[in-house]
Amino acid sequence: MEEWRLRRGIPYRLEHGGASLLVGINDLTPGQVVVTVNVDGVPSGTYELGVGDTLDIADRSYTVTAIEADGRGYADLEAGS
Amino acid sequence: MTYAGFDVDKIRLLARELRKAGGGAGGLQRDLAKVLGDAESALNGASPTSYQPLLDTMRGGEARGVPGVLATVLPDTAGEIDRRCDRISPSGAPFPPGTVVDPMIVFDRDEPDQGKVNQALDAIKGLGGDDFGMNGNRDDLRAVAKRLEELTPAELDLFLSKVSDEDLKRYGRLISDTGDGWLNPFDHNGLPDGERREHLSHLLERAGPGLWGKLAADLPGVQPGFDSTDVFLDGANSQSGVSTAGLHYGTPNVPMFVDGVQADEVAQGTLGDCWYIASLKATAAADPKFIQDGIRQNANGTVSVRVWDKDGKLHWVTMTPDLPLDAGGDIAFARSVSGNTTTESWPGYYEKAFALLYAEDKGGAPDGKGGDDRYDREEHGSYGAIEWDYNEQAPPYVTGDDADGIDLDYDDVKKAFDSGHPVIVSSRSSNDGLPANLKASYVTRHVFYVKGFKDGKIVLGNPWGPGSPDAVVTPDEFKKWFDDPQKLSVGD
Repeated sequence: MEEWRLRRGIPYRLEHGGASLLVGINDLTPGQVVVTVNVDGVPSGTYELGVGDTLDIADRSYTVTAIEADGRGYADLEAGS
Repeated sequence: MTYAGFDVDKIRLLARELRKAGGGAGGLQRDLAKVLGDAESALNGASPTSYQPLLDTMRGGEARGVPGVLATVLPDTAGEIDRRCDRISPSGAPFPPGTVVDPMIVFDRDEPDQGKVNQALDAIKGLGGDDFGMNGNRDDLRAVAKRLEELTPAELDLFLSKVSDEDLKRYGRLISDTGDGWLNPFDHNGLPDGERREHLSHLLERAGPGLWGKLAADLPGVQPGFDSTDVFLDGANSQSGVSTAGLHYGTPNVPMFVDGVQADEVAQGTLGDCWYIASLKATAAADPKFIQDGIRQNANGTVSVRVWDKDGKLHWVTMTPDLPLDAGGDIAFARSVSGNTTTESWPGYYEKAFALLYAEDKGGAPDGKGGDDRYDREEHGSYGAIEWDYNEQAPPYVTGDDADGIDLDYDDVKKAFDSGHPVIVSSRSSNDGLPANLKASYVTRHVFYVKGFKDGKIVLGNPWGPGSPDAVVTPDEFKKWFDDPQKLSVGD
């Protein structure tokens, strides 16, 4: 099971299908995280997500399993099997 | 990383030219001496032929100055060059670009003075006594530090190979502890921050590569730890993400520079130090040469970066050439990228030097992990110390001058930028009501830097680097969604 912890203020980079992806948290509030996925420097989508919501990144579906908005903050994502 | 400072073929060509010039020096000396002699004869002693001391040395048969002495000096020098070239590239074998050569061989260092090394060993062992007198241990430590700094590189290597870990670690503890003794509030202990930094840099810049590990293991402040960073702590946590496991020190597999300082290519890594990276990128954009001039690779392979401390004193912080790498061997923290491919390491060295020197950490923003102070403790000399801080904190370390707060106003920011000042600005802590055009580029609780102006709007760059869109904002949006702009001064 692949898990991601996206932390506020940190860019996450990955390659997929010859494209460069950058995923980052734009904002965190209690119960909600705003995430943007950029492909080759161009935003492909900005998503407002709560716990249980899913997000597709690089042809994989991720479910938000936890959101911590206090302090530095993070969101945990879990890839579907 | 490689250290390639020699083109053996060209150096051998220089030796040939020196030998050839030396061969002609004797004849030139004789010719000039004859002209001088003929002139004296012609004048018949009526007046001196010359008042030049240089010409006086040409009288007589023995060469006492130029050009005659060159007949022996230049061939000798050429012989030394050939001899050393033979050592690093024997039998005329090709010298592949990028070959790493031990400086001890190239620079043909003198044999170490065993007596000086033994004195240094005795001095550092002598610190094992507890009684340093009423004035504390600073004077004793300074004496030992001076003795170590007076060793030649070969002597330092011999010293480091012989000194016990116990003695070196005790020395490291003593120079790092500047606290007062509890019995005597007027004593002076340890070496002050800046002085200790200079001392460690001095040792690192001279020690052989095989001894860097011992220095790093025994002396605090040689290698910044990363085990208190959020990314590492998350990796050790059962709820960890994928990017944290396997963080380790290693030599980057990319060069320090490929195409010079390109601010756009600098990318924040997995460290929460946007407040520093924004200042670095802003300064690199305004004055790339200033940044490029602030980093150098030393003869022994270490790297030195120019950083100013909290008191505005300039230091060349010397460090080992390894950087924190991720499990895949890529630089984990700051670096230059093209797409997502790491291309240059120089930002990583700037960041490492900053981590070693930054002394104003108060724990950073609270982490929300009640009772777990590993995340936001006050630190010094580690990567954890530079996570999460305020935007005005970094500029003095990058430029040597405090940043000046300016009004949150388009015209004021443009005026500062147009007059050559890098400008950084913080975002707000909430994006409630954020217009749709900023949804993708705006990041809350972040630091951006001004990249330029376009059609009456401000273009703000994200320290995340390539792949992250610029935030292009109207004057009103700038005022509403940003805060606390800072004007940096470079080279004032």
